[in-house]
Amino acid sequence: MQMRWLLVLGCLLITACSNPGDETSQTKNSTPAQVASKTESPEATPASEEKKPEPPKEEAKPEPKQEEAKPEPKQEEAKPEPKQEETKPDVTDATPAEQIKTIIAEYSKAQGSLMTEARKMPGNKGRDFYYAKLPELQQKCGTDLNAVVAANADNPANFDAIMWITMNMAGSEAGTKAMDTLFEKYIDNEKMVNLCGVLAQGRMPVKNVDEKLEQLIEESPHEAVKASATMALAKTVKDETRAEELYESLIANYGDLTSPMTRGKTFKEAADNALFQLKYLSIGKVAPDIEGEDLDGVAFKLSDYRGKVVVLDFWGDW
Amino acid sequence: MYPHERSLVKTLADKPFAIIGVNSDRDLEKIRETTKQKNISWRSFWNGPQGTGGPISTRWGVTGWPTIYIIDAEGKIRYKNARGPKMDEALTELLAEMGHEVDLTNHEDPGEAPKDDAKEDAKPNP
Repeated sequence: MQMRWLLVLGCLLITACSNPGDETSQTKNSTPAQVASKTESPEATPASEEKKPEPPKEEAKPEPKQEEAKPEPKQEEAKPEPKQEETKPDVTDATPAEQIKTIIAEYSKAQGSLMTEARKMPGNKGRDFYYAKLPELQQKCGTDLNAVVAANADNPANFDAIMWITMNMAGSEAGTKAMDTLFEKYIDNEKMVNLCGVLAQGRMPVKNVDEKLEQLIEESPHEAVKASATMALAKTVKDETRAEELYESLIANYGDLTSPMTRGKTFKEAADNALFQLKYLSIGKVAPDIEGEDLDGVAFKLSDYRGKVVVLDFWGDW
Repeated sequence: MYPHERSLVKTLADKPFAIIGVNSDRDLEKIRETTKQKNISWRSFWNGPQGTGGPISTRWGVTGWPTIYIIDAEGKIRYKNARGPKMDEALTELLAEMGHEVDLTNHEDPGEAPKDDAKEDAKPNP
């Protein structure tokens, strides 16, 4: 009996030591601490493409600008944490994970108050006020997070902090550094999916987005991340043929998956829709016909207006 | 939005030009009333009771409102989301392609619903 146990133990030791220098295998096999940090904030940025916290009175009156053109891609992580009540007032005794959570929660709270204040202002004043004040809050949060990260090198919980800085401070030195760190140290993290959603919008002031997405597609071990990165790349890449290829590969490889990026639809549905737009709704393509009824119930077609210059306006009075 | 479009409808009344809306309001009765009040004289498809989730906008992949396509006489999509002065430039260009010189640098909004039922496009164009 004893002999057998020793054998088992021996095998375990050999397995454990077989890849001493393999960093990827370390990060892939989550330590208990990593697992804990994952479960603590499972959905830091659940819906990359859903409506962002919007500037004041967004819906109230349609501006000449597009509804979707305004929301800040930066506010991804601003959503209230699910377990705020657990945050401890005394940060110094808290674990790095808790500290990070507290700092982000405080930011969310401050951001919420700022929004409330801004919403009370008339016209565009609120929006201007909001965006004038927001960077201060972001700066403070970023500095605090960086301090925690610096004091606890290589703690898995740092991921959330670094992701926050990446998303909220894009374009700044801190943001760029954080992004680099994500790709150097955390490429295996499944929450990289949230970054894909934001990058897909193509509004983040980040260089070489396509290279970063390619890297995720190749190196991430998670299907959801690969799929989201493919989608993001397809959306942002300039070359239409390349975009079509990416959508096709999305359908072929990850068609059945859903993600916040596709707003509950499967990647196939989302990609089909995007392909339709690429093929038929690009500049220079003949507009697909529309057959429908006007507001008085009279049937007509868009093609009835062939021979005229047409402004086709998707509008609503809300 | 409306003032600019009203103005275009008026200024380009005798040109091969049309604004076609795809209205994405859920309440048909209400939007009918609105079009009267705000003098929205151009024709719109109704996107159906699902509003912004209706079939036309879904097929066209519209996720932001307004979304604007400018289509030439051959039915080709030429501009997306060109608004304000950019829309004016686009229309000037596309009408010029058809041999219609128009000046849209200074057009004016005829305003909201006139009290009497006077139709704005009944007026002779300058």
